[in-house]
Amino acid sequence: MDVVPMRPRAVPLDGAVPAWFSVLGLAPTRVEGEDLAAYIAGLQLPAGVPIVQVEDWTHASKLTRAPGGDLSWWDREEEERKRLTALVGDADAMMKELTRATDEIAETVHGAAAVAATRQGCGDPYIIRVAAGAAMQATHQRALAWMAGEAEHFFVRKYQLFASGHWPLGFYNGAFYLF
Amino acid sequence: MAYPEVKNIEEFKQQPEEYQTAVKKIVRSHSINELYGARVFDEPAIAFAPTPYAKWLTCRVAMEEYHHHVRFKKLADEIGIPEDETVPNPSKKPLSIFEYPLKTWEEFCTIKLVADYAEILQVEDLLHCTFHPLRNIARLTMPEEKFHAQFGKDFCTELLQTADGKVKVQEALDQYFPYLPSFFGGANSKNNEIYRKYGLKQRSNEEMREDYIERVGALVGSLGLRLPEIRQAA
Repeated sequence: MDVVPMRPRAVPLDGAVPAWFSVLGLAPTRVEGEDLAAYIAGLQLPAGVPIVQVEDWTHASKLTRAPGGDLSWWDREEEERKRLTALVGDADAMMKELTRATDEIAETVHGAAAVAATRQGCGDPYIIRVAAGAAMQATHQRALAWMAGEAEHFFVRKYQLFASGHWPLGFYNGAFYLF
Repeated sequence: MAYPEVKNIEEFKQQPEEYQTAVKKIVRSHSINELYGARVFDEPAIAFAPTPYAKWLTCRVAMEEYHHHVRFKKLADEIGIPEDETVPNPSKKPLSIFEYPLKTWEEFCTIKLVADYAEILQVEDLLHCTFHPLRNIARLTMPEEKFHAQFGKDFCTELLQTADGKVKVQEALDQYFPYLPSFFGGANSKNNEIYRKYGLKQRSNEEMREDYIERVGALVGSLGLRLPEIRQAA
């Protein structure tokens, strides 16, 4: 069946100010737990996968930097990104909208990551940029899902975790890690 | 006598045609090349990055490079450069280095190490530009370009810990470096003469190229690498 490209939908401004990196290391609330469960289901990870709470930036850095890990969860996101991109179709309009969505928050996200890291005594410019990159990627993915008309997509739930102040770090050593 | 400072777009519009044309050439070139760099190297590198850490860091770097393009393009719009001249045009040949698709993480780290260093010198030369809106973009962009070059140095240092990594980084250097000196433009360039006449740029292409080769030679030497012979490239 041929896929008919659709006009990208504008990404809505929901009015809520994202609380980037504000509750790192804290346990998720019930609603955040639901977002996490939906995100994990979207990644097609095994049901009942253990959730491990990361408490500091050093652990987050070591975990995400360890070589030789299972990147199938990352690949699953990449597959979805490609599918949604093909669904949206209009590459120029999509790029403009995605640029708007991520450009607006670039400095805010970076600043929030720097403040959160500094509060925990971490001044590593690399992990601050890694965190900002992760939040901007989530913003990009959520915008893409919106444009494709999939407002319930697991990219939206992933973004909600970032907007709530967490950083979902991914799947490592048989468990999902949340900062 | 030094050319007077041009503080804003209104003052820019009162400058001689030659000044305006010179500024437009610089802004157009940066706008196009920043976008080429983001598309040809930074975005594809996310897939080659070996860990989530490196992938997210590369996402951030790609977005910073893309944002550099956005900054230059915004200025281009303000000074009246047509939109289609500020983005890569399929009918116009890009700089040679952008014609080779990225194939490995080692290539990306090496490009950050040496190509972003070339970009630093280009931006450095605009830090005292008489056209303040352009000068300010250069000043905003500089710390990020320096971080990207540092990224290249740190990740190459990591790769060089293994014999295989060392071979791959040296191969990437041999492949890409020869295209970089031409980044600085031709010798006895008429454009460059005009840029210096108006205080838009400070140094000749030859001076910049010589400085670049010396500095980058010392940099790669400190990592135990060597620069390849430079062949003439477009």
